[in-house]
Amino acid sequence: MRNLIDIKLLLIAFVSFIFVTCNSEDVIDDIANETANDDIVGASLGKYQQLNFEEALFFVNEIKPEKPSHEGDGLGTLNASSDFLVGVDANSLVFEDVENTKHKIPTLKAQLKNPQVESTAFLVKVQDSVLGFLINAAEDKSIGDEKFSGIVGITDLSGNFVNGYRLKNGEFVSQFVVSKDQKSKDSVGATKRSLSFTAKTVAEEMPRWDCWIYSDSQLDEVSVYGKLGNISNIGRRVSNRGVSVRGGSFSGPTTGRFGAGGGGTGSSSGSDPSGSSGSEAEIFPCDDPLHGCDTNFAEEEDDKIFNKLTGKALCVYEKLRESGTDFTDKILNQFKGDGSEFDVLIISEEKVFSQTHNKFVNGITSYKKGGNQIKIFISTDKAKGRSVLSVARTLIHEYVHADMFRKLNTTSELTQEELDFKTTYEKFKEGNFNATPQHETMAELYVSSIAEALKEFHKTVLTKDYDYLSNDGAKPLSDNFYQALAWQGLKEHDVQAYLDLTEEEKAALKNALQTYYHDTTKNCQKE
Amino acid sequence: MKTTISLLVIAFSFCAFGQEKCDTLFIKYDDKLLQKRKHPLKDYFYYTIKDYDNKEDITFFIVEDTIKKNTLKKHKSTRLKKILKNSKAYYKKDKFDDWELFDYFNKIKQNTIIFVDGNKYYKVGVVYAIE
Repeated sequence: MRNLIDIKLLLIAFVSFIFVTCNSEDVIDDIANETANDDIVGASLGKYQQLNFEEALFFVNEIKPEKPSHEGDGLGTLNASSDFLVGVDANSLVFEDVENTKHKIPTLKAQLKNPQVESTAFLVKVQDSVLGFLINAAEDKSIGDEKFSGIVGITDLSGNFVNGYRLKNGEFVSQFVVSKDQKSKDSVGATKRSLSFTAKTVAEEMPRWDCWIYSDSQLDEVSVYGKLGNISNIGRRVSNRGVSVRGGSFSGPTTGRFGAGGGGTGSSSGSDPSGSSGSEAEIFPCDDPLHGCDTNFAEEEDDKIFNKLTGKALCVYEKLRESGTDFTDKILNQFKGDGSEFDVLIISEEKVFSQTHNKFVNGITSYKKGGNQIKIFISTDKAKGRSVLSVARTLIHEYVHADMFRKLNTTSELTQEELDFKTTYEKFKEGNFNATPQHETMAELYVSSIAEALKEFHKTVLTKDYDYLSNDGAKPLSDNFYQALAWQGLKEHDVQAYLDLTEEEKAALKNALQTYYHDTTKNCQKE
Repeated sequence: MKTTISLLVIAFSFCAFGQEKCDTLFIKYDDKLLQKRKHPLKDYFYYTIKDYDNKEDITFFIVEDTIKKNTLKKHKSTRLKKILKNSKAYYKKDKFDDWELFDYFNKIKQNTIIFVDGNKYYKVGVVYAIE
């Protein structure tokens, strides 16, 4: 019982640190949509966006149930083969109030494989991406302190380390940080989830260091410079739930900081645990749930590919790069290196306006006279409601346009493949066709490659989604589904290659799209 | 010697004068062919060619600057109709190929394009965009 109170205590402590302070509340249904919270989204909450009930539920439902909730403890599980997380209780979804704001954050009960660790899941939304995390509390039962003693760690749903603190009798005494001296992968095998304590040796203390994470990263435990706020107040807050006791000097979300007033800026690596100095205890190192204190993400320059994407589009872009499909790699590699004639700048904009139709669209590729930069604009607003596969389709579609610009304007000697492209392009340019030569050429030369890239991306990167839709591979998805996706953005323009399909072929594409499209995931989760 | 210096001065003056002429294309504004629009989200105006095709792509002219007449040297404006004809952008009645127009502008030697609308001079950037 004490553990239960403590985990609630610690969750509230941390969540309070994020959003000033919280009161528990039953499931609310008055967050029906984002527009209802327009006044708080993106304003006083800074980078954190309000999740609505549907988004939270959708995310939770993405965690596939190992067994139906009515057949047991109601826990869905992230992955049946997970060695870390048993699951989260979808029925326990509640929105925690954030005092002094209209913000509410969704939390759920979670259960780890290790029964000694109390765990609670919570969701945040940043840059249009919904992210799930766990607060894991491993109590040191050998200490008979009045208040909590042990480790409180934050991980993602797979158990990867995000942040962690050791507490003694309710006070933060040390922080866990990723060790600078990570051993080579080979040696990690032998010391998996090993931990070195460079600042303080606490190995003999309970609980074991490795019960709250599941990670190959080596961690250092470093002393906190100056004590964090004594959380006895929070203890009182929990023991008097409903009687809100504010933590005194909590800095509000308006500061962009989510700690308990004062202190440093945070660090997830090295020996400076400034993320928890003074009286602060940040949940996320450097208050960044997406990248922690890794500053290299800010503007990725992949040779001559300038990436200024955010949110879901960034997530999909990174996953596409991660999947490394031959097709997309081949296109993007043409823009890499100092010798490339053209650069590509990929930019997220909330709304992308099409001058052609005077309307807002998913994406546009543009090129300005006199420049050597091809710009791809991706709409974050449109991406929100679309599936990850569909956003990937848009990215690939725009990549192909960028590739066509390059081929049409290059002064370099043409390869055979580029010559073939030009021959096809000229055919459409000279002929009497409905669509632009670019879209006609894309339809004739690229649709199969786009479909193949999407299929590979689905199978190798969106594995959970693919496994779910294919019944763990027992019922593979039809190639028509990926072909139908690839035709989007082309068939609407009456490209000849689509018009040439038989009615049966068109019907098969339509059916395949209808069968799967609405079930594919909309959440792009960073691993 | 005196003759040489005079020739150099004349040649230099010609180049200096010719620099703008060579690098700038002045286009006479034609409201029968162009329409002016304001971007709904960004703070700029742009011109598009009037045509009634259901388009997937477009070449448009972003107004980047307003030029004062007294800063410009004597110049000759080209009619937009002539440019459209030279670009071969019209490929059949009421059909317009925006890429052809962009390609034409992209290949001409002049880097600066100025629309001349009466006493107003607008420096424009030529952009091609496709969905």
